[in-house]
Amino acid sequence: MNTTSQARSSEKTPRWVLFLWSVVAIIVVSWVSTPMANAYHHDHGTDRLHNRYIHYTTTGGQGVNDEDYCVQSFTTRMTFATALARVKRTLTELSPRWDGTGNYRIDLYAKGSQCSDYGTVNETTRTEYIPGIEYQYRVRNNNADISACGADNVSCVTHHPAVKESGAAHGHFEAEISFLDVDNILSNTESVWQAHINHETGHIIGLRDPGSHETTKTCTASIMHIPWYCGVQGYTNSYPSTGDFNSVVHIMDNTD
Amino acid sequence: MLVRAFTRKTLTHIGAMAIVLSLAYSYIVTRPAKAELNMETNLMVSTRDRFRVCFQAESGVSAAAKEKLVGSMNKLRSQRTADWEWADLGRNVPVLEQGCPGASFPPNATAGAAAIGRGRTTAPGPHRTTIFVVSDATADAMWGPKANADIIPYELMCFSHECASVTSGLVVRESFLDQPDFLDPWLSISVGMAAKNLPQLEPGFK
Repeated sequence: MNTTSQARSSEKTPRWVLFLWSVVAIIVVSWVSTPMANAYHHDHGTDRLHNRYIHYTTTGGQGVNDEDYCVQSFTTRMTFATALARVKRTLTELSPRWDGTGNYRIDLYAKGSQCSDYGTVNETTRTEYIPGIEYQYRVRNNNADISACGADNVSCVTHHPAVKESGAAHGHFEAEISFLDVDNILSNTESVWQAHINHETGHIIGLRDPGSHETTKTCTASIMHIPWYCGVQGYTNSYPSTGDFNSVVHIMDNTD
Repeated sequence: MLVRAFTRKTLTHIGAMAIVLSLAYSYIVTRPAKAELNMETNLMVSTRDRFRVCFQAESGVSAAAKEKLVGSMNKLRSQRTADWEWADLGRNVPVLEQGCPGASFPPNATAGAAAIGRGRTTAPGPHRTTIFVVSDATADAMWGPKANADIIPYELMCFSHECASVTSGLVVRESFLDQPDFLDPWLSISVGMAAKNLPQLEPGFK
């Protein structure tokens, strides 16, 4: 290496080159981290995955905009009568309860027979949708084979099928199925099964688990933030909180 | 001259910047779009740009079944044009594409199948609706003689312990394709239009 080239290699990089590198770095990071413009719409979390009838009400008794639910027991460990009694007591008898929320836009009515009497519900073939029934509660021994649950001793909800009716600001769901693990609702202590049924019903009407749509998990007072998710910070009441009712009304009103 | 204006080192920096920028650009134009649930539209998934339907018939089902389905789609669109367009289904009836990728057909008694298609996924396919026509014998074996159709999740996107069906699977017995009840509620709901003709069940109670 001669003296001239030694001098060149020891030259300091000009400041404007360093500046250009920082501009390049910013451009690359913004390109790579930004989703493609036509491929991304942020899901509004609590405001979107819900039964569509929560937006509407029927005046003067039971009507087409009210929510009918049925119960089915697929296990010998809990009779249909017990399962129905526990779901019904949670939804329409104990207070505070979801029924009546938003000036009865949530207006729940039980069906007297098992879900299979209204459709071809069968645990094996998984026949899913029953026209005219908005919520199904299916009590099972083990939900590990259900996509949303994925493990034993877990209850979960499937939203299905989706619709977008004229005038609606967004799509939502014609019906929901809550898969209740029998071990979650078998206790003789009322508050235990009440909490599980209220939590799963919270999913049906638009509430999410902590951390499922937020960047950080929050554990505010909510039936969705039970100790199973939030540990010692978890919500220990077995019924929806004031904040839960406010959230659901917010969803009903499309005020995001 | 350029060499005089910039040292060799500076030129190397500029060349390296150009390479980095071109690599980054080629990455963003070739990467697969990430699918996001999008409830603002009835297409439901951010990677779908139009309403697409696939169709599959059990062997033994008449070739006329597909024509009947197309006829039913046309009737649904013409009878409820405003609802059709509001549901983001486009101006025209879509082509029924032959064959549904990943179908578990007919939806048999496989344990664990909570869906007739791919089930839980983070990358749903392009079809918003899948339609399966089964023979009457198969329908009887699946449902008994009373039921004519069902809507089962085909693909699901999941968040913690809840899943949203983003692709509907309509399973229908062949002899039901001509019936008015097929059009509404079954076909209408499977494409994402609210039903106008839900059955009147016995009253519920509080």
